[in-house]
Amino acid sequence: MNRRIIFVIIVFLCACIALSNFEKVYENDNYTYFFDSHSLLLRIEQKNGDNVWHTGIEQDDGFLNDEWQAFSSSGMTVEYMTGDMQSKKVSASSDTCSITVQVKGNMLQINAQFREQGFSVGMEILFNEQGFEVTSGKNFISESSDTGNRIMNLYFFPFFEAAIKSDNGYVFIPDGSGSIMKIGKSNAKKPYIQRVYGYDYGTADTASLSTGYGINPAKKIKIPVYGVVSQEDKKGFMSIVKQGDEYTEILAYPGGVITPYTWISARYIVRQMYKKFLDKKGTAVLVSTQEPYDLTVKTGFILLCSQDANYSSMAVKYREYLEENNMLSEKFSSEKALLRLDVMAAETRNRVIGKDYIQMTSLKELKEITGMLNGLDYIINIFGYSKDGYSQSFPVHLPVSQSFAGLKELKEFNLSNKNVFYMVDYTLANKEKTGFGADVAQNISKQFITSWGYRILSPEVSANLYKNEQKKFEELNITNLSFRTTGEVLYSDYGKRPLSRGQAKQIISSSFNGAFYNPNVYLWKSCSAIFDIDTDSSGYIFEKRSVPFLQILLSGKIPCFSKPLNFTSDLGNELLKLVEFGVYPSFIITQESSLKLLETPSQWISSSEFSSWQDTVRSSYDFVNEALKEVYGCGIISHEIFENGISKTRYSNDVVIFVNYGTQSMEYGSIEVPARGYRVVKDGEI
Amino acid sequence: MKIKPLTLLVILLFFAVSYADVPYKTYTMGPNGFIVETRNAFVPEKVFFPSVMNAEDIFVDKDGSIYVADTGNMRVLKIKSDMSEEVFSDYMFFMPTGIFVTDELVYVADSGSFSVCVFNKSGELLKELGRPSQPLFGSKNQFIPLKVAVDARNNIYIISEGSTDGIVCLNSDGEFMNYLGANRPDVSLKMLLQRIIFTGAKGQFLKLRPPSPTNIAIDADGIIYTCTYGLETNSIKKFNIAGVNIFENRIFGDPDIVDIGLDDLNNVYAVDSNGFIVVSNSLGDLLFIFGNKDSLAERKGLLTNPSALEVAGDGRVYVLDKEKNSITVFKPTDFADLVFRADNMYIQGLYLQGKDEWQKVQTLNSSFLLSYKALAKAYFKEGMYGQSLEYFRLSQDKGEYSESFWQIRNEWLQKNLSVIFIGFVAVFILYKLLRFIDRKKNIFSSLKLFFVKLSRVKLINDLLFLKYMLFHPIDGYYEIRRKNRISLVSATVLYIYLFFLELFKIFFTGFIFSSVSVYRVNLFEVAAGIYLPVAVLLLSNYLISEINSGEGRLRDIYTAGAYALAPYIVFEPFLIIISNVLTYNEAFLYTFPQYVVIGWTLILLFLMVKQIHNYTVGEAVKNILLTLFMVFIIIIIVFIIFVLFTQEAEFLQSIFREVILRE
Repeated sequence: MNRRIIFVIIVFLCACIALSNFEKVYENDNYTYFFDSHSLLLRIEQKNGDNVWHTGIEQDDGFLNDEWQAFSSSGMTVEYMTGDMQSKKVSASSDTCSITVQVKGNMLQINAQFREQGFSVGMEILFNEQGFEVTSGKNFISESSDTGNRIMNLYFFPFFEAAIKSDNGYVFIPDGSGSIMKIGKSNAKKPYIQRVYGYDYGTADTASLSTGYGINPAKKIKIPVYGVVSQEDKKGFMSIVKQGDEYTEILAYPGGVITPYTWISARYIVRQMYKKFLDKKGTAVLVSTQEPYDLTVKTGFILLCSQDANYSSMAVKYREYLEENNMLSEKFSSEKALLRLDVMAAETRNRVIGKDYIQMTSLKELKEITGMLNGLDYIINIFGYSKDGYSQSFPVHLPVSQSFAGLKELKEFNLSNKNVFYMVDYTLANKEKTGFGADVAQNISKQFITSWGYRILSPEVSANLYKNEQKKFEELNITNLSFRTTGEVLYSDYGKRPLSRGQAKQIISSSFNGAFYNPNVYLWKSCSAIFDIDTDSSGYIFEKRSVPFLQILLSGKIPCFSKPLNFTSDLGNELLKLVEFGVYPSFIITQESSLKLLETPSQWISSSEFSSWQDTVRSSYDFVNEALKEVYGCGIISHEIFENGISKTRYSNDVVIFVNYGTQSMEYGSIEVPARGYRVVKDGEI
Repeated sequence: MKIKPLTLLVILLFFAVSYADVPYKTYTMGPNGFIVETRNAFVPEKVFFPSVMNAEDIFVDKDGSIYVADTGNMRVLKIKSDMSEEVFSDYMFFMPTGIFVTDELVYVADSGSFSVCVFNKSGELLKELGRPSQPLFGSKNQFIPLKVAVDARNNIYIISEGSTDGIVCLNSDGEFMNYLGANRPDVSLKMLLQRIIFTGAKGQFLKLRPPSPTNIAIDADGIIYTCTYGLETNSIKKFNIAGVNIFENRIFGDPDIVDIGLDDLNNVYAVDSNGFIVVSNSLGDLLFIFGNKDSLAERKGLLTNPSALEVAGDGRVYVLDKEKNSITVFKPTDFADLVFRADNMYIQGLYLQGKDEWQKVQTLNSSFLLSYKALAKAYFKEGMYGQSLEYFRLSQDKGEYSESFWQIRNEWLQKNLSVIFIGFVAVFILYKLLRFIDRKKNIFSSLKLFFVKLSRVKLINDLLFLKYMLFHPIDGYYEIRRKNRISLVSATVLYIYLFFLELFKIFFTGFIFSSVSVYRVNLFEVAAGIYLPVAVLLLSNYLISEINSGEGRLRDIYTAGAYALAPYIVFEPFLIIISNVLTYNEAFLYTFPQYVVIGWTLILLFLMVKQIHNYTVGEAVKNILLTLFMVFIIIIIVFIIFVLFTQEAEFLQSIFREVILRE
């Protein structure tokens, strides 16, 4: 008994010693902020609650080696490259670092001088009602040329709320639609490291662009947000990368990968590592870019307490942020659309001489098809309407093929049908299209950027091509375009018109306007509808499940349509997912049999004939519409999944949708959810 | 066929729809020999990590319990269906690498202790089977059991490491019976040459040893299947009772194969070290390829180093990964179930009963090859020969196509025979009549005059000389050589004609006799395929003749060369046309004349060399052999120059880049 008391006292003393480094630097109505000027860590205490947030590992528990110990217990870590090309890490808590801190009202100005390494990095911490905000970047860095060291990456509070175990805590990863990873020991051996908005083709070597044959590429990060829920409905935080997102990577380490901690962090890229090729065989050396990127880091850390500590509140908070900054506004029109039909007009097949034009659907046939679908609210997305059919058309799509429709007929059709989109792609250029040789983007090794047999155009060229064609489309009374590829990729160009990733983002986000295929967040403001939205994560083994984070953000703002469901192997399951996520179904439709597409680049469309899909389209529509018509144009305010597999999505009009994927009917309170089905309930009934 | 990621004949696109959210794509065989993408057949249901290390084998018994030969931990682990783990037996294993479970017994191949141990279900050791003592086993053969399988009569089949004689078969008492299913040694030209050149110790290394099988599976009827790592073809074998491989040249092979498993319908599942799982039906037709290697990230359903595969009774596929120490469970989708159902009908020959199912498959994937084969057979049975003809064409089944075509032709002939006969008679009478009138009244004189005039045009006249060449080659060559009978222009016209003839052949030869897919024709390749050999041959012949007192000038060789092809030039078009109305039953009507034409052409070529250069027969033979040798030399020289130049270019390029890099 005595021993135990002594032990408790010792622990308390230790805690006091540890605490003593932390000084109170600021307080507002919600939080009190303590700061350790040695490690640059913050500790934040909730004023009207018992939550305490740790921005790093405050005590050495003997699990980690020196480098990781320093990394985990510092508010700032710098990764740098030595003159002889060795990658090293140095953290603020290291002995070679001298730190100056200035307190100015609600702001901390910090400068960390790494004497041995010959550089210094500054940062500003701004305290606000929600938490705090970190600012740093190129302007905060000074490097001396004596040592030959180059700063590569920056980390701020990488072990924010890192933990070895937790009852129901998890990490939110913005992988695809969003996913959560449990805090605790995992069987995974590799961490999650992904660039926000996907690879930068300009610095990634071309080989790594094409994931292996037969692999569906991993989902990309569409939104620069991550978070940790230390304890569900109790404590957590989320982080929004407000600036510098195009130079950010997100790292998530499951417990057991290098350290026993589960943690997630952003890594800000100051200089890019890339492979420099020496010969055709692919011999390459790993080098870094000379000049630092024009990087400004501005990242908000938002603290989450009580019922806000879960992923759906994170999404709601991020949605508020996007709205406040005019990055997201309501695009739901009065004309309902709960289904998307992708209609293929034609494709071409190369022959020994010339090519075959393979007509799949003419406008006349399309009209007949729509005639058979009366009563349904849908949009139509036409592709392959060009003279060269589908795959060989882009990046020039006009004129419209005479076989598809006569000019007069086409104009009339477009005038009377406002729910019709025409698919365009100004980012990819078909290899057989001549005249674009000089417009292809180049990577840093001055190689043309290609992917799967397509050449990738410079973002500036893409914007110009669109501008040129826009008028011609308008002459045909076509107002709605759907942009494939353009919204999904973001890359720098080292060719004739050098563009950084940041500049490319600027150009893309200010030039295009219409529907996009699975676009990154910076395009949402100019986006009228989203096609092929991710409804899943990449399925890493450390991911517990995927969550509809993207869908919560977009709900009530931009209508989202799924990938074409023609090729899914379990349609029932897929439709349930759409109901749960609030996404509308899509189908590819042709008049002719897809057999005609054999040995064309569109061979992947292996099933699309309208006559055999008509009933499925209608029944799928009915199934999804029955639920989603109740919440058309409404935002999701919360989303939960229960132990028995039932999901519960609550909308702003107080309608709740329960979905049950299981093969047995389940009960939630007094509400019974049928097997492989859903229930729509008004809030009052629960 | 070999599955190698890079040689996969798939049209892959940057934007192609990923068929749902699994990390791998699923493929099947499509028409015209293309591998095409299809909807998912199997999806990863779960991945779990039992406490095993470098485990080499698993077995899923009827109750859903999983037995793992936990090689690294020297034990056998039993994972019950509620996921609880228990050590199966307290027996001290050395290196358990194979496991097989029957209703009552558990067989473990322990390669460390050179024995197969037999346990009852509660883990008590009943028997330990060591190296067979029977002389038949072979005095030098080692007994290192790696894998084990047991049939319904408790005969034991063992794969022993390095056993080139095949599988060791023991009866239920553990007595050696015989060897089964040895692989054949793979003899390549290179090895043959090496064996001729090397002698003594080096030669010993090259002794031909067939690879020993890697893994074994057994179906409910006791039919043995083996797979062999490293075999390019026939890597999966299915032995009938006589020990004959009935998958010979039928099944989609895979050299990196690691293990095979069978489901209740005897579909064969093979997993390879690249993480691909290949599913074939019991006849060896490819159904699906799915899965992939886990190279960049650990995603559910990708494999790092698979060591064993097992198909459970409910159709789920269990794959053991010895590097990740994980078991991945793949669940068949509705689509796979549909295909299996349809395929089962097809295999039993119930073509009509399976028709609806196959039509469903086809609606879901219009490029599923097997659906065309199966539906074609159904249509054939129904007498819808037109439809079956089209489908057999798509499935590239020439034999069956020929059958359908025979039926169609037969019907057509029966319907139209009288018309054809009357037509022939009418034409004959008309011809006789016109001739009769012409003789009396000379009505065609102007036409005849026109033809005479036409034949006086030099080019036409030259071309008509082909007819003369056919039957009077010696005189013909005399005229060409001595009298400059043929102009360069007409020879050139013939060479150009050759190109068009080849195109005609590619596009218009009947399907049964054609070997080229029209989709893959490249004009440049066709031209190169004709003109390069012709040019090299003519040039070589000229060079050789120059130093061998040949009298022919280059011009003569050029012109005579064209005319030597006269039989081919004249008769081939007719053969191509005829090939469109023939079936395999009358194939000799196409192939025999083909040989005649080729033989005839060869004779003309020989005579050409003899006559143009004014050689004796012996000299001509010598000249031809030297010419061929010359061709060989030219090819080698071109090849060397090509290699040197590319290396030079690469060398310069690397210097250039290095200079830039060091700027």
